[in-house]
Amino acid sequence: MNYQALLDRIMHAVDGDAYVVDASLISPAQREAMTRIGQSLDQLGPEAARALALEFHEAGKIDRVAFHNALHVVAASPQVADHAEAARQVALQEDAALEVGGPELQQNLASIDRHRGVLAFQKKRYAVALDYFSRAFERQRAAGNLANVLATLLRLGDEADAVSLLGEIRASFPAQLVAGLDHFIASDPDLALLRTESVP
Amino acid sequence: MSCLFALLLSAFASFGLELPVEQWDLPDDALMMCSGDTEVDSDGEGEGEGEGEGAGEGTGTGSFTFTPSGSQDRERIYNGF
Repeated sequence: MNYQALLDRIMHAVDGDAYVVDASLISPAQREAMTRIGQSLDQLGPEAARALALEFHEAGKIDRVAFHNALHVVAASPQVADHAEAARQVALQEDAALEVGGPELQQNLASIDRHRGVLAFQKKRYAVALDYFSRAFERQRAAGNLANVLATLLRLGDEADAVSLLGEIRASFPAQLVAGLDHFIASDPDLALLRTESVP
Repeated sequence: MSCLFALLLSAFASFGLELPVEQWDLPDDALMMCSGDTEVDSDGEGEGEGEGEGAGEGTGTGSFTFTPSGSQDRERIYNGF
């Protein structure tokens, strides 16, 4: 048996579980293409994902903002872990977002804040990550952004604050957002400490 | 309440949540806590201890737990597009 191949598969599964990519927050016009890029990263690897992003960008299926967005996500993935390149792509994403402007500007800036938060989190600068994740949620009320906030609070050792914040969220936020957050808590090992908090 | 948490609650309250910021039960000096030179150790530290013991009988079947090298440092993080 080729044990190295088995080890690679296990490591790939671990990496995949540790890095959650999805395109649900992308505008509908570009969502399908970005979903395929995310699937390509997961199933075929970073080179295939980069190639697909370039193909879609040249075909006009994704704009410059989404193109650099995708290249950041690939560079920041555990398979690649090229943080300098990931940071460079975020800068290019921001430049494109500010140039394009329009109704998607806040969503695009939220994506940039989230990406910068992820880089800070991966470098274990959790206080910096919390600042970025909070900004991301401020711009975009998404369950994933909230999950990142809670995970970072736990990493900072602020379990009591995380529990308190979760209670306030469940009491005050829209049911759909709370349901999305509960899904993250149920599936994310980093949020396991919050699973004992009962749902009202 | 930590300075960061106070900032976080203020951020949440700033974009029109139905919950007024007063209801977050912030201390009066929450913002003062965030002024000046605040140092935050973002690296964190942790210690842990564990003990275990067990006894059992083999039945001819078994399993193994594979722990990839470095896996203890892995963190699940949401990085949606």
